Amino acid sequence: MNRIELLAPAGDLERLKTAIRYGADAVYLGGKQFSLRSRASNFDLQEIKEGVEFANQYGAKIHVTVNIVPHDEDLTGLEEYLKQLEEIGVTAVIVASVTIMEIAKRVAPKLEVHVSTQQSSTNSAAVSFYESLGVNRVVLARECSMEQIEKIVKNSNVDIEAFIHGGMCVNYSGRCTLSNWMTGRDANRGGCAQSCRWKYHVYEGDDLISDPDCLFSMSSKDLLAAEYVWRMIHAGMTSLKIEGRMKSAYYIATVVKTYRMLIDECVKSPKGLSKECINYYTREFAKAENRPTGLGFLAGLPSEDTHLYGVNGAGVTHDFLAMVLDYDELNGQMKIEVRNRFEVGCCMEVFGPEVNNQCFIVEHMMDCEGNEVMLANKPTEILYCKVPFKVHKYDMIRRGKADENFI
Amino acid sequence: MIELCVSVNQKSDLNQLVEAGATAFAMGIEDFSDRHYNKFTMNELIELRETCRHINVKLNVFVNRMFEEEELDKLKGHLMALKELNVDGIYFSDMGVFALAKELNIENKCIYDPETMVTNGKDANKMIQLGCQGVVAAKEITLEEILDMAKACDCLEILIHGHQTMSYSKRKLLSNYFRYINQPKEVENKFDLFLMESTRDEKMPIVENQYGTSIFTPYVLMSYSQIKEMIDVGIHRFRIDGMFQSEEELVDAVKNYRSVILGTKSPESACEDMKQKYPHQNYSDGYYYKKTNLTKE
Repeated sequence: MNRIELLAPAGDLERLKTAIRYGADAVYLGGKQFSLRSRASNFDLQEIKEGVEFANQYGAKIHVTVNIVPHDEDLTGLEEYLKQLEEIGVTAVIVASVTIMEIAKRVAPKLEVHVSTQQSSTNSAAVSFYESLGVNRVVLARECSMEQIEKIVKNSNVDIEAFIHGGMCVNYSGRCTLSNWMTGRDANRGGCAQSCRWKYHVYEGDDLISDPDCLFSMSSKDLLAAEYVWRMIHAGMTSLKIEGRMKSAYYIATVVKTYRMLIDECVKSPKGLSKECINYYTREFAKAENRPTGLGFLAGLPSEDTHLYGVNGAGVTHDFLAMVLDYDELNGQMKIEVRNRFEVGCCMEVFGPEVNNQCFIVEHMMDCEGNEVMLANKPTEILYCKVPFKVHKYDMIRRGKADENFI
Repeated sequence: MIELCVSVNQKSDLNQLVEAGATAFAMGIEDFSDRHYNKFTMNELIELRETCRHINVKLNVFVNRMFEEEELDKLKGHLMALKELNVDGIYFSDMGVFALAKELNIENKCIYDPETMVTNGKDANKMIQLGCQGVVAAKEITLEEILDMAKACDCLEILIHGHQTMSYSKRKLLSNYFRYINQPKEVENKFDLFLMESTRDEKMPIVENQYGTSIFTPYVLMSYSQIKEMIDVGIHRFRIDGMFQSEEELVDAVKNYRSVILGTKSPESACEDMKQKYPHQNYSDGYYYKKTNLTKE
């Protein structure tokens, strides 16, 4: 079995580096042009180049989304752009338009072409259509069940990728223009206003039949596929994808690290993982996951409990407190950058590429001038803090919300 | 020849529609089509084939759902039956349908109609090069863009009249909601349900069936003032959707298009006549003059 790819999103270089340090095999990002998610802080070519160079040091790959559904006005400069991506050393482009697929194959043959989930491919016949165009990989629609994914992989000759985590369109991806009509923002050109997540009255003829205290909405819970990862690996899939080019570095670190551990454990476990084991990972995700999650279509057609009606609900169990900038082994002291409020006496948890969760109680902190600090409440302030075990640059520090009143 | 294809709801429409100027019909089929008021069985389709041949109009069918892996054998069998029946066109939105049609050597029957996605001339023409008979332009493009696209693709089809599909979900959005608020309700295949966004006043039809949920534009597209410009650049395939329209309205719509094409009626008076006769309809020129290239910075 080939090593399965853990594919993480990145909205900028910091997040790209975080994802790779925390265990992603590949990162996908959007360029300034031709990409969806126009609000994600997309990369210019120089930044993509820097990303590729960084990834190369870790043996990781960079995929670039070229996934707009273009109007004629949007195609200017495309060929040159694809050639530049190839030259920079990008591994693959993720594409929705059949024209862009063809152009990429013609002008930048070293680039792999991956069919975007915007094409909503739900069966192996659709996959075979793209195979006939010469593509290397198809990202399946999020509407497939686990059983269907297994069969599609079996019946297909190109690599198959599927989402395992993050936001889900409530409609078939690419087949929704709610945002276009209601806001003038094109969902297929990076402008999606997520109008599906708004509130709606329902009428039967002229009669209002929705509940005024709980209006209709089409907001989907996020996907969390931890319990299916073992089956996905053993089905022979090529890549497992995390959604979220707009998520924070802390979120990326937590989610990537957790899937890294989970995948590594699945590979070592010929019979699958226990319920307790899955529960452990689920709790780990909750330390950064700020939206309620569900299984999407993996277990079959989603029912009402996979939708968000009343709340858009924060469920994060942990706060991100600080980033480790350096560690002085001699003095058992770390240099940190503050992100959220904490104080001497609180219980912190450190995690990082090399550190699984390790906890300690903050006993002593000082600022750059050597003054003792009892309360850290200035974001980006640099502090020095004693720590009773070894930490590393780029480790992150968090604490459970339930632990806030520790002392 | 200018083709006016009408997606019909009831068999009884046919003669009247042909008299009004329809040159082709598009039919929904049980189990294989979505977003149709009335779907025909294969047996009915066999009869319709005869009728259409007799009155010399084309018979197109919709195989426009998204299909699951387990359905591929059944889908292929269905396509073979359509080949046998020698239908004139097959509207599809799932590339799997096209791949299977190719295996059966009937790709030239295929008309790509994902109801969005076809937003530029090159993508449209690519599907023609691959063997499709026609390609339906996305609704969310402007008239100017349509006219440009026609330069690159001479088999472009335009949906000129009716409600347009805004979104297509595999989920049962209405049943789920009504169960959630503890008022379980029979909602499948109802054509009188609407959504209204809580800060707006437009009513958007929403239809749920066993294959999912579709939401439609709050307006009825009307193209009397645009059709001549489209014909002038070489577009010759037009479709009129009858899903939320009465039989009479559909016949009037077709008659007016035929008159405008023949030059026996001005576009302005065609628009005016429809608006006067059907004042409850929210007629609109849709996206013809509405660019959707805004982004939030």
